[in-house]
Amino acid sequence: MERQDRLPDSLPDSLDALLSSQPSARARWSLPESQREELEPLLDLAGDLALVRNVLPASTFADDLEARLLARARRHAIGAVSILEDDAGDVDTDADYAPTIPAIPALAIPDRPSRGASRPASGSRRVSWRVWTSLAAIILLALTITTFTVAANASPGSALYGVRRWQEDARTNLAMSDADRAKLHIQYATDALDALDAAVAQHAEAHVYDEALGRFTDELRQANEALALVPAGGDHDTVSVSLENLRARGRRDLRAALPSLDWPGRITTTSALGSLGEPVLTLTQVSGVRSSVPGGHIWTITITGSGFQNGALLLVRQQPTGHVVSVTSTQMVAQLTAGEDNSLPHDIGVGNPDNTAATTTYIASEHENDDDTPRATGTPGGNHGSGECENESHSDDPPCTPTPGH
Amino acid sequence: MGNGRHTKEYRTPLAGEAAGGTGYTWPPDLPFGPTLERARQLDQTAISMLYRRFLPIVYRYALAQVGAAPQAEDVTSETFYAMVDGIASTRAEDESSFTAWLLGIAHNKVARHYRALRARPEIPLTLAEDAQPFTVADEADPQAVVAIRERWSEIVDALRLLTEEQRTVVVYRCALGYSTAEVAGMLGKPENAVRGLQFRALASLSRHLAAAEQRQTDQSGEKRNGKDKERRSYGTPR
Repeated sequence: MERQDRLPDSLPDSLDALLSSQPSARARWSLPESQREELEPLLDLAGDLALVRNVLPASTFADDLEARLLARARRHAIGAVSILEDDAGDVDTDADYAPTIPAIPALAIPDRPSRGASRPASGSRRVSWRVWTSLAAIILLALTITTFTVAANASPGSALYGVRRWQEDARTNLAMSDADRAKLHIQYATDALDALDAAVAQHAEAHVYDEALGRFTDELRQANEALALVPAGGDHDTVSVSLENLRARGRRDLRAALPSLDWPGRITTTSALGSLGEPVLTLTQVSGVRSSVPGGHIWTITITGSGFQNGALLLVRQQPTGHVVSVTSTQMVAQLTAGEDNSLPHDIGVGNPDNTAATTTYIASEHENDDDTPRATGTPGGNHGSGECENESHSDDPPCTPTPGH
Repeated sequence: MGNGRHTKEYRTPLAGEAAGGTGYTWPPDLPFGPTLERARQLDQTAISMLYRRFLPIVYRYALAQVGAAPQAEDVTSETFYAMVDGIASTRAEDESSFTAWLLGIAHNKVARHYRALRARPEIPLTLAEDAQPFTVADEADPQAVVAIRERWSEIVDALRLLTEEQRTVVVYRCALGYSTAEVAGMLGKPENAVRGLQFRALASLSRHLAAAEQRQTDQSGEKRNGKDKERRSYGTPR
């Protein structure tokens, strides 16, 4: 007990030495008076704490816990225990397995590279698999939530606009009543019209405008259908007024958009205007007569319909071309140089000076002129599509013979 | 109280008992590492061995922190459940690091126990008379049982007033009996720091206990004074 008889000078070291060596009373009394007074109560206190070392858990508890632990281990071994399972009725968190206090030096020990290979079917792989599966599910869920959140504000033309439409469709399907459904459709149609206006103002790409226009007309149609199911009365009238206001705004905005659109855009917009009750041009029939001219053939095309305006253009494949011979409000006669195969184009339309336009693929008749003399009727203010014929004439004027390839 | 068979079984010191240690060490002819490796593979025998080896340590640790046997049993159960759940992923490779890992889990379970208590304030923090910790104790030393029963509740309350590090050191060192070097290894601290923490912890614990005793004395004095005043105000019956 030499070490105990020569205790260190500092109190913490002396205390530690006395606690470590279980010194005799003599050793305690060998302490200087000042140290003894200070250390004695601490040693007594440590002695009280040390009594816990004699304590053992109740044997029934110990046996029962061991049995439950081994059962749990067996279930782990066959992969039947979730890491969230807790027989005590609680739910553990991962933090429980990675204690932060006290610091654990062992956590810094790197894994041996061969450990995984030496345990081909260990529980860690199963747990790890579950952890990764859970992690993947959480990431997937987070991505889905993020996608839906972002999609809620997606604009037409963006990749997520389809998701937004799906969300909106789902919401309208879940609407409590037809009136609510109609209101939702009106709301979505309004949003689409806002997007359409923005696309025009920003000179966005054509598909952005087309998508917004498609959504607008679609929502408007569905709003109308839902409104038809709403019983007459307060809700019906309210929704009806909202719908009519939206239609009026739609007519105004689409009209305003027309000048800044290309011809395909004008054609779809004119169709939309027609669905909004706006009087627009319509085509009912197209017929063509092919005539031989020096160097080739020309088609004399007669288009019937309504709403044709003076100065209207012939559209072939949604682009102005040919020579307009005559135009009345219901009929246009134009001439077009035949192509290499001499066939009549099947996508023929009319573009009005007010930028409305319409096309049709319906060809009522298509035949060849026996006398090989093309006849055309002109009208004052007739248009030059591609400038194939310089002469403009009234319907009863002599035929104009455009030069092929001019 | 147990039937004695298990008490002896769990308390049987293994070969290689270290003086001043926990009283239990791993048998030298059975290296700890391979047993731990088998336990990682959920080998029943290995898990059982680890459980029997560490049950007293975890239970005592819990008891020193929560004070009452039922709560200590809860903490012990949860700690060992977590051990089985997480043993495949623990990086511990020797007895020391495994002990640190297991006591770290116990620490978290104790923290959760106190969080639950705070969330349910209707449950008293003080111990009931029949919830005293020593349902099974050293049968050879009944005086020790009586002595510690009298003071244990106060000690546990005072332990909660220490800092986290102080409490850990004093519990590891005094209640569990680990050596200074072992505690330093488990906490990743120099031995000097552990000695300093130990001294400050015991000193602080002593002060808290003294203050608690003083408060009790004052309260009992006030009650006695109150009774005296009461007696005086009513006067002496004729």
